Amino acid sequence: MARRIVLDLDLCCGCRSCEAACKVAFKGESRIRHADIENTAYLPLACKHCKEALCLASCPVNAITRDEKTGLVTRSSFVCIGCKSCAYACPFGVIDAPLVRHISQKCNLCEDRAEGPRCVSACSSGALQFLEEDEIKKMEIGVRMVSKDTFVRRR
Amino acid sequence: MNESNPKYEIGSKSQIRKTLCTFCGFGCELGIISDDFGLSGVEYLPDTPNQGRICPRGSASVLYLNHPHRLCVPISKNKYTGWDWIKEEFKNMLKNPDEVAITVDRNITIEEELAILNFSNKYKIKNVVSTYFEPESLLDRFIDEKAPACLEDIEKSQMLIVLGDIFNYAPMISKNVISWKFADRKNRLVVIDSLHTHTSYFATDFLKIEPGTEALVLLSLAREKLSGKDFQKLTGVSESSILSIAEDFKSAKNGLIIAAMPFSHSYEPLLVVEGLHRLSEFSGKKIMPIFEFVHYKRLNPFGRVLNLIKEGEIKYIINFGELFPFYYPQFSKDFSNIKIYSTSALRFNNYVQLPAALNMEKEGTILTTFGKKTLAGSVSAVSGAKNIIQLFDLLGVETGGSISEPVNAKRIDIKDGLKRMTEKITQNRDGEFVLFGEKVSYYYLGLLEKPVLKINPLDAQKYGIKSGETVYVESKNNKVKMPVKITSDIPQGTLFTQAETPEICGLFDYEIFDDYLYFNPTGVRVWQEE
Repeated sequence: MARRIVLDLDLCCGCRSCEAACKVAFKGESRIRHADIENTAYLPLACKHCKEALCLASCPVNAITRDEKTGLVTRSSFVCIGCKSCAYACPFGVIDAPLVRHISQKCNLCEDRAEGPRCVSACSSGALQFLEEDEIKKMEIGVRMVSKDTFVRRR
Repeated sequence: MNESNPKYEIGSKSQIRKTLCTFCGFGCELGIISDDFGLSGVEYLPDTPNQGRICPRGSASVLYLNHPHRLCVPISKNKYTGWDWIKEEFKNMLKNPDEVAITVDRNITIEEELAILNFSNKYKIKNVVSTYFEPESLLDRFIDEKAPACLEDIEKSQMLIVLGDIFNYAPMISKNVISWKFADRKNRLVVIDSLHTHTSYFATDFLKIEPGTEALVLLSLAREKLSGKDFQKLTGVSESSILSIAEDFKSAKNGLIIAAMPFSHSYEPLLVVEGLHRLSEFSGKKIMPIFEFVHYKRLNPFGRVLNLIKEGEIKYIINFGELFPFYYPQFSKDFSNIKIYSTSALRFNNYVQLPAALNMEKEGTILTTFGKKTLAGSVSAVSGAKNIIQLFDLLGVETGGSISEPVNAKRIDIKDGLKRMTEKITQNRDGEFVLFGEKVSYYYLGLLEKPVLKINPLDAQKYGIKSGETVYVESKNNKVKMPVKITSDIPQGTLFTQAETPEICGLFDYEIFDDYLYFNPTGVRVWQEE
């Protein structure tokens, strides 16, 4: 069963522990990014490993491939030519355009680490979770605002 | 993981060394990965009290341990000098102990602090002072070593009063506070701060006060009789809301005050501490201090020594620690005629520098928010770096004598303090912004971002400044070039920045009161390059 990073925005405190963990592990690459939505929220952006991945379709040298078993969309650092096509094609803006070591910055869900992505492990507030698809369906993510508390990010 | 995507195992020779993160007062546990090439990364260990969660400072700790500017040999004016020369210098210097001051900064264990005090006793050096200038250092008095605050205190509470942006100061507390808030809708989170922060987003009641007026608000929450017609004008909050919060907090069965005090964020830090004392006494609730480094309870404040230096009585400083005096260019003029010997982890100044081990590389005890914690010495120190005890052995200096009792934290008179604070707030700063400090952990080491200057959109419009542009910020002490971030999080007429570099620290005015030296919010001018 495929596992993905899920963000519970209610819990995110904007500390950027996720980004720091990623950047330290991948020697300067920011494979997880954030959007700072003024007056509303800080939003960590992790790769969704789309079923129809536009980054994969746009790569001119087939550096981005999909693992059919896990659905993981990964970029080979040996094949990547740093053309930034994937960064411009990504509809969620999670691939950062500036190159690091002449290659694009693409999340691989820390496939080198048995415990899962480092950003999830480091997350100080528990907002990022690494869940299987059926676990995600059972979670009450996003329901808290209406059912449990009238929590609104205040100005 | 399938064959086409082989799993890249950490090599057989790599090891995970469990240690404490010493870059804030929480003392989180983490693993440092070491292999044939040295320290290569951080591992997040789920079986620890912090459940593997690590803030940006913790993740960046390996970069500091592995920093390309780590000092491995003693240097003088950026040139190598042997230990024999240092030994001779110490021998000559210690002949006149009255001309020597010992300053103790951060990055010291309790055992090392005691060794330094023994050393000063042995050689009859009277001036042994702390140069940990961040006002958070004043919060050490709230650490109850016998029954320290714990995270369960948050869970038991019905009401929390939070001073400052604790989620970005010490992110590890966020999970506990946010879970507590969502656990019961009656739980009430009161946040006191002068700017919108990620902590204030979660507040049930956000007391958005006028910048720098924390002391007045805390004292009024403690129901000190301070009411007056100017209260709302000065603080920006109404007396009725203060009254209601104060009464509810007092009557809450369980509650907690969580306090963080960044550099140059408030006027009169001693008065803020007094406000916390009185609020705690009034409500009968504990204080959980949040601080970045541990503090040393047996050291005197620095102010008197600075005066002695200005009068020419002190000719040598031996600094044990990390940042002083490099971080405070304000003192460079005063220090121009004295000789400074300093331990340091990084090579970055013109003084005599001795290679120091970082706390994560030591064995010993540190004081955290949650009481004493032990450093196992599992990460070996970079080649040549010494801890203080090894340094004393190497230099052949003796330690001995009895240790003094902890210095009793002074309480101050609130009437005088309030008068001084009011004068500073109402001071006429024509054409100037007031620059305040804030502490955000992700600016550490410039890993994610370099410090930015926050400016209100209306001010930016007035001066024709656009977001991301670089401006000059100039105080009477220093001038710095910085990128701008336009945000309505901060009030008009103010600027906020993170004092993460010596240049930025150098912008702020300092003041000595009652021997304490603290840095104040400072008047600055801003302009763009032609």
